[in-house]
Amino acid sequence: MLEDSLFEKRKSKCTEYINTPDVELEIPENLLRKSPLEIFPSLSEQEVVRHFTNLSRLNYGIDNNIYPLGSCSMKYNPKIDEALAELDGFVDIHPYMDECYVQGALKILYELEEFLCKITGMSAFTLQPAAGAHGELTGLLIAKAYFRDRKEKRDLVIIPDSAHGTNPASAAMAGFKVVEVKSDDRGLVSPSVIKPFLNDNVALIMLTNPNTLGLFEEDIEEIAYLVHNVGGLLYYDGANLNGIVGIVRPGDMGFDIVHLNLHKTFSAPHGGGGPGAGPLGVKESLAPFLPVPRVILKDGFYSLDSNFPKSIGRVKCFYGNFSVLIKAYCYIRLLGKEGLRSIAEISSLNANYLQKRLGEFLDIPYKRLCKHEFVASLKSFRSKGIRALDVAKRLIDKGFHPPTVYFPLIVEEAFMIEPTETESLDTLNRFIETLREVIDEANTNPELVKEAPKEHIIKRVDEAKASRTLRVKW
Amino acid sequence: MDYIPHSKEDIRYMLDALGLESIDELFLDIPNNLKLKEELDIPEGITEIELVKILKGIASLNITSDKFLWFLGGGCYRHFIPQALNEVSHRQEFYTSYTPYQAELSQGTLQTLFEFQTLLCNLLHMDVTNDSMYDGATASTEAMFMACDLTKRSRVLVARSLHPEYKMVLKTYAESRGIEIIEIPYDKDSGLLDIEVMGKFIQNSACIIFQNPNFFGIIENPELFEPLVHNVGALLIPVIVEPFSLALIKPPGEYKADIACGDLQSFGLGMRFGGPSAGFLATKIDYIRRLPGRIVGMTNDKDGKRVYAFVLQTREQHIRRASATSNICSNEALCAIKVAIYLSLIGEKGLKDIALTCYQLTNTVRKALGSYFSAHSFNELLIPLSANSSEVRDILRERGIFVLDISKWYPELKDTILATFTEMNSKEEVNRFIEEIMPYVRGFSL
Amino acid sequence: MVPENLKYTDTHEWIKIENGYGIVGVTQYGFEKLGDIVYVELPEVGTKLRQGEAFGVIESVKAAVDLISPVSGTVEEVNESARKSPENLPNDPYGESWLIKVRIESPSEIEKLLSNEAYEELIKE
Repeated sequence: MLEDSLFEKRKSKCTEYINTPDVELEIPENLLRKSPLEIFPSLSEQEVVRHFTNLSRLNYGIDNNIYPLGSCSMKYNPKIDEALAELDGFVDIHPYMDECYVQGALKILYELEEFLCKITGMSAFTLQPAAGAHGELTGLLIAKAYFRDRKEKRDLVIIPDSAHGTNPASAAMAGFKVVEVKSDDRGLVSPSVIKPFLNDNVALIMLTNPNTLGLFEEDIEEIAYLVHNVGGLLYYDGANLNGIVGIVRPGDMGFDIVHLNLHKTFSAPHGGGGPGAGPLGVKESLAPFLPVPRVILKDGFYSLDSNFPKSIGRVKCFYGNFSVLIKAYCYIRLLGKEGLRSIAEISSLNANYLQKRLGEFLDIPYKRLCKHEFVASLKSFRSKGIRALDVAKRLIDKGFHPPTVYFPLIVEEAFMIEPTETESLDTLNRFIETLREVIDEANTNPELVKEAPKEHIIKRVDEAKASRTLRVKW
Repeated sequence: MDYIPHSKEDIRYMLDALGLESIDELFLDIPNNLKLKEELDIPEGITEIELVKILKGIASLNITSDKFLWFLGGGCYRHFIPQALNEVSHRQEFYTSYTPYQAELSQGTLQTLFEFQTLLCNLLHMDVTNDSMYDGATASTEAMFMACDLTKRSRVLVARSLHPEYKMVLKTYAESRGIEIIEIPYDKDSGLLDIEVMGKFIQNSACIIFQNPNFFGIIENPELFEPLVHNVGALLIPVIVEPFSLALIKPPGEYKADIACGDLQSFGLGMRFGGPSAGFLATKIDYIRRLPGRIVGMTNDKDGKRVYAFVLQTREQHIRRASATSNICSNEALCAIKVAIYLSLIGEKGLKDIALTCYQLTNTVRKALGSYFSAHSFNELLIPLSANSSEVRDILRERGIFVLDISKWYPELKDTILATFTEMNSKEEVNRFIEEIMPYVRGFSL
Repeated sequence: MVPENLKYTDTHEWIKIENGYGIVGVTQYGFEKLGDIVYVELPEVGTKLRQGEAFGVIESVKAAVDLISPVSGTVEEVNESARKSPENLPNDPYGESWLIKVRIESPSEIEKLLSNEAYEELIKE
C-alpha cells in the first residue's frame, strides 16, 4: 500500500508536548509573520508515527537484503555503533562548552584522527568536512593555500575519465581548471597519458585507488614520481579505501592528500543520502594549512587550538559531524587492525567471486583481478532494445536492489557491482542466480524486462515527467 | 570482532572457484614494495562488551546540559525532542538506505523529502528548497556562489552580525573563487544592520547576506533595505539560524528574499557537539536550475499512481561533473527526514507555542535586566555588564549557569554576555538566572 | 538512413544550409542516445557562435549534453516551441525539431562537416 500525503490527512487534535504560554507580544506588527502555516499537519502522535512508519516500509534497507551498489560500500551497519552514538554524554553536549566539560568528545576526535593517520599513512587529519565531496574541496583549498604560500601559480588539476563526478566538480569549485585523461585498455591510468600535461602549472593529480572499475592503479609509484617531479601534489579519493585497507596505505603509495568517506569504509550508515563524514588527511608539509580549530593533547588535557596562521580557516561550523565520527570510532575499535584488513580481504574475495560467476553470462570489459568491486557491461542487450536500467528494474521485481547503473561513464551500459565483505556466500549465490534468471528473461522475453518492475508495489517511475513538471512541493 | 559471515570452508570454496591458493593472491597486482610489512599500528579488535564499557567511560567525561542552568545558544540550541522522533527516524529503512536513485525502492525517503520541502517552503514562504546542505554555514556559501553566478558580480556584502563561524566559512570559500567580502557593521544602538553603510556598497555587489534574527538575537527589519538591494540588481539573502523564529516573525518570502538559507538544528536534531545538523537552501522557482543539491518532485508510475523522484539531476556532479552547480553529493538526508517528522509531530500549534515560549522567557529577562541593544529580540539576549564578559561567564559557570561570552569574536562587546532561552528552561530557572546575574548587570550592580 | 541534403557533426548535430543561413538540429540517433528529453537551453537571438563550441545544452533525466555549433555565425532565430515542449523534440528530429537558425560567417567551415554517408558510417555500431 502506498501512503497518502501528509497534506491530505484530515486535521485532528495535535499531540501537545508543551503548555501554551500566555504571552503579550511586544514585537511591532510590521515585523510579525502574516502568511499562514496552512499546510502544516495537525495530527496525533500515533497518526504521525504511523504515517512515517508506513513510508519507511516503502524503502529498501541493508537489513532487508544485499545492496550491491558499486562505489557505495553498502555494508552492514552495526547496531551497537548506533546505540553508543546516542549516549546522553555524546548527544546532550554543546560545541561552545568549555573544554574541561567535553574531554570525552575531544578524546574521540583526537584518537580518531590518530587512527586515520595510521590507517592511511598520513601525518595529520581534520574531521571537519561533513562528506566526501566536502573533504575533497577542503583538500583542494589546502593545496591552493600551499602553492600560494610557496608563491607558485598552478591552476591545473588532472583527473582520469573513470573518476567520481565529485572530483572535477570539487576542483572547479575550488577554482582550478580540470583536464580529463583517458583510461587505457587495462582500465588504468597510464603514465604516458599524463606526461604530456605535466609542467609547472600542474597543481594536482586526483586518483581513486582502487579506481572506480575496482582495479588497482598498478603504475601508482611512477605517477607519484612524475607529479612530484614537476612540483605537483597527488590527491587520494578515499571512497574505495575499503578495497585495500590494511594491505597498502595511500601515504606509502605517494599520496599527499587523502579524504575518506566514513560512511563507506568505516560503516557509518548512509542515511538515505547523509549525514556522512569526510575527514581529510595530509602529509607533514601540508599540515599547517588544515582547517581550524585542531584538537591537541597536552599533559593529558585535550583542547581546541585555532592558532595556525597558515590555516585555510573553517569549512564548517563547529567540529564536523560528531555523531557520525563516533560510529566510525566504534567500528575501528571493534574491528581493530586484523578486522580492518579483513575488510579488504573479504570484500575483494566476494567481488572476485561475483565477477567470476557473473562472467559466465555477462560481459566483463576489464576482466582482471579486481578489488572490492567490478564493472559489467550490458551493451550486448542493446540490440534487443534492453538497457542496463531495464535489467536493474527487473531485479527489483525479484526482491533485490540493483547495482549502480551507467557509472563509471567509460563503460557503456555499465553495471557496477560491490558486494562488500558482510554478505555471505549464500546471499551472493542467490544474487547470482537471480541475475541469471533476469538475463535469461532478457534473452527470451525482452518485453517483460523492458516493462519492469511489474510485480513490485511501485511500477516504473516516470522520472522525465518529474523533471518536466517540476512539482516540488504539495 | 567483525561482521564477516564467511566460514573457513566458505573462503576455501570461493578461492577454489577463482583458482587461487590464498587470500594474499587477491592482492598480487599491488607492488610488493608498497605493501605494509606489518599490521596497522592501531589497537587490536575488541568485543561489543568491551566497546560499551570504553564508550560509556568516554561519554562520562562529558558533562551533559541537564547538570546546568542552561542558557547557551549561539547557533546550536537546546530544544525538546519527542521520543517518537527518535524511534521513527531510527527505522533501518530510513537510516541504512542509500541516496534514493532507484525511485521504485525508495518511496519512503522520497516522499518524506518531498514533505520536508513542502513544510519548509511553507515556513519560509519560498517557492522551492533543496533536500538539505551540510549545515547553515555551508548553505550560506552556496547561496553566495548562486548570487555571484546569477548577478555575474564578485563582491558580496556580509553583515557583521552574522554568526562568526558562518563568516569564517564564507571567507574560506570566497577566497577560492576570488570573491571579495565586505563586512557591513551593525548599528551600535539598535543592533540592527547598518543600512546606511550597506547602501554605500550595495551597488555592484552580488548580494547582502544577513542573519535574522541576527547573532545577538535582534529581529531585523529587511523591508527597510529590501528596495535598496533590489534597485541595484543585487540579491537579498537572509540566514535563519533559529528556524523557530519563523513561526512568529516575517519569513524570507514575505520580504522578497531571493535566496534563503540557514540551519535546522533546532528542529529535533539535538546539539551533538555541533553535528550533524542540516542546512537548507531555498529560492524562487526561476532560479531552480541554479539551486545546488537534491530536489524531489512529484510524478507517477506506469500505473498512474502518485509517486516521487529526484528532479533536475543534470545539475549535479554525478552527471555534469566540472560544470555542476556544486560538488555536493551526500547531504544530510536523514536530518531532513527527522525535520519532517519533527514538524509533523509538533504541528503548527507546537511550532508557535515553542516560538512564543522562547520569546516570552527572553522578554521576561529583558524587562528585568535590560538589553545591550535597543531593537526587539526573539530568543537570545545580549546583556550589558558592569564587568568583563569572561569574568562574569566564569563566575556564573562556578554556580552552574552556562551563557556565551562572544567577546572573542566581538572585542567591542567585551562587557556583554549572550543568553539564550528555550522551552527547555522553566520559569524558575529563568528567575534564578536573573537573580544570579543581576549583580553584574550594568545599571544594577553596586 | 539519415537525410542526404544535410551536413553532420560527430556530436550528432545536423545543419541544413540555404542562402548563407544554416538551420541546426539534433539527429535522430542523437535523440535515441539521450532518451526522454527533459530540457533544452538555447541561446538568445544575436548570440555569436563559434564552430565546435557549445551553443546550448540538452538534457534527459540522466544526461546533459552540450549542443555543439556546426558553424561560426550569429543566431538569427530560435525555435521557441522546442524550448517550451522539449519532450516532443525526438518526434520530428529533421523537421519541427530544429533548434536555431544561424547566419553563417565563413562558408569554408562547411567542408569540415560530415556528409550523410560519413555520418551514417560513424553511427554504425
